[in-house]
Amino acid sequence: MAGLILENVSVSFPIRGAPAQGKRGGVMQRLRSAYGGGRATGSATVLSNLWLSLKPGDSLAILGHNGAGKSTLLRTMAGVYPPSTGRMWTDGVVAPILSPQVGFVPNASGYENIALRGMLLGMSRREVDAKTEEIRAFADIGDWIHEPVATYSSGMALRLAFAICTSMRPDILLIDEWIGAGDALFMQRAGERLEELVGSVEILVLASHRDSILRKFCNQGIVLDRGAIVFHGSVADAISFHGELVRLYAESGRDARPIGRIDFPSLSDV
Amino acid sequence: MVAVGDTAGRTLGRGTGDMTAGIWTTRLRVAALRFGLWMGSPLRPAKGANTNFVRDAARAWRMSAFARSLAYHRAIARNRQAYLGALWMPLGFVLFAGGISLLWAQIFDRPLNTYLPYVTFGLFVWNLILGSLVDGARAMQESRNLILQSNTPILIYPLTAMLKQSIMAAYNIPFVILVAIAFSPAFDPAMLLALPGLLLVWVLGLAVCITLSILCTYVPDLSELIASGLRFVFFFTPILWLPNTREGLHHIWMWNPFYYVIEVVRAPLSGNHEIAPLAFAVTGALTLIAWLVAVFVYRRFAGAVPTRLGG
Repeated sequence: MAGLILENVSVSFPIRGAPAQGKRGGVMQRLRSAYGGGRATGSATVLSNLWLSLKPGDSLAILGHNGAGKSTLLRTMAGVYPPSTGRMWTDGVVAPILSPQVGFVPNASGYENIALRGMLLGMSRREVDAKTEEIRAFADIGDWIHEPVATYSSGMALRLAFAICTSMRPDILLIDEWIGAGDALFMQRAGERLEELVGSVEILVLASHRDSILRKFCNQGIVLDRGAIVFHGSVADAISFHGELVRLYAESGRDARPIGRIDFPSLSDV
Repeated sequence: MVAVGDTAGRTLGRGTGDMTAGIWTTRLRVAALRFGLWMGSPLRPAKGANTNFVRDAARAWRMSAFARSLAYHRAIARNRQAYLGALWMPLGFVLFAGGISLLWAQIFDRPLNTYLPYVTFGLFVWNLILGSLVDGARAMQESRNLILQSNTPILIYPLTAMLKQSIMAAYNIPFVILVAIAFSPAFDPAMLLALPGLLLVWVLGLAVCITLSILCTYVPDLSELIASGLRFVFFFTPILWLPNTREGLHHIWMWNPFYYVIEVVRAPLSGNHEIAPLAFAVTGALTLIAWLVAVFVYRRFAGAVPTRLGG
């Protein structure tokens, strides 16, 4: 039985304190402020104190403005970023579809990239080989499959990436918003394939700005604001809460700040 | 005006009441889990990636097919567009080793039949050392996109760097063998000691790659320092000159670890049996130390590498 639980999870990033603009100081002082004796000079808490529990059948929508921490949350769930405090509990095979367009090996052919990406996502060589034909057929890029990926148009690269990523059958599927390139015909086929994939997984986590997609695939939603969960409820409520939040920000005339909270403990010392 | 931006979430949350309800339900569910009431679920804490060397090394080893494939593509990447393709790797080596031997043999009045093999064997190992250090230093930065895509153990990337260097060295091996056959008086079984020597250099290189790749995400200047420092070290290591040239200068090579690492391959091949045992002993000790350092650095610093790359 698949499951995913975040128990008071925070994620923070080190900020490499580049010497402040216009700041005078000797080389040693600049080095000290840059490396702080091997430690970062500050940290940005991008996710703070998240509590979340997903069981089979749950499909979670993540809402939030740019920089609220959506992608970081997905990467944390995928096991890329370790929680800096708190604990994460998982069961089942987790497959992230985060940013498929990046991470191709540009001078390897489409075929070779299918193998590389498949293995990177955790498939064995044999599994990849068994799926290669099906991936090639869905990507539908003809003889270009034998050419280096560097020569592909962005649409072709996207189709190949989508075909590879959606060929997995995980228990927990994490999708970051990225669909949108590609022509209308491909988008229709992609939509069908995505529906089929989503139907086969036990837990889905989807970050998107498009309400229609969220309503279609998700049955609950959270709203992130500067790294904290400020709302957790049904997907319809989450969407209206998020709309309200955006309106409030617009009225107050303040932009949503790009990152959660920044502490510069040692910059003030310098 | 109040700082709405700072409190917007909380104010709204309190207003609807939903937010608190949602979070408390979750906390209760988590509490239930902690006390084992979660319907016997096999949920377990997701172990922090990249902190346990043995576990992650085993995972990386299972993914070695991926590392091999990636290493191959990176090795031939540079020459993909050239007409001669991958042939440029051995060609560059042959031209440099051959050309410099001919020139320096003339300048310093050395017999070519001993000087050419000496330079060829030395350069062969030096290329491997140089490549591993430079590639190791940027292994993580180079693979940033891949690291941020999946929870693949990051040990894969120093391994890839070393495999790439092995592929590049493999292209040079035919010329090395050719020189060894052409210039040695007779075949000596002791020449085969160069093979374990090469393996030892590889194992040492892997440990150094792991250490450097991790440290370079903390101190990015390190990769620049290595690239420029090694250019300098090249001239202080007996590759183009012989270690017994001048009595007064023996400190330069006697205390130079690169000398012994090169000798574990060069000494058996050129039949220099006096230095070979010492070279093996020193390189073996270096390898042991390098692995201890690598495991320490890995356990202490590897966990934060993804956040360092992503932040």
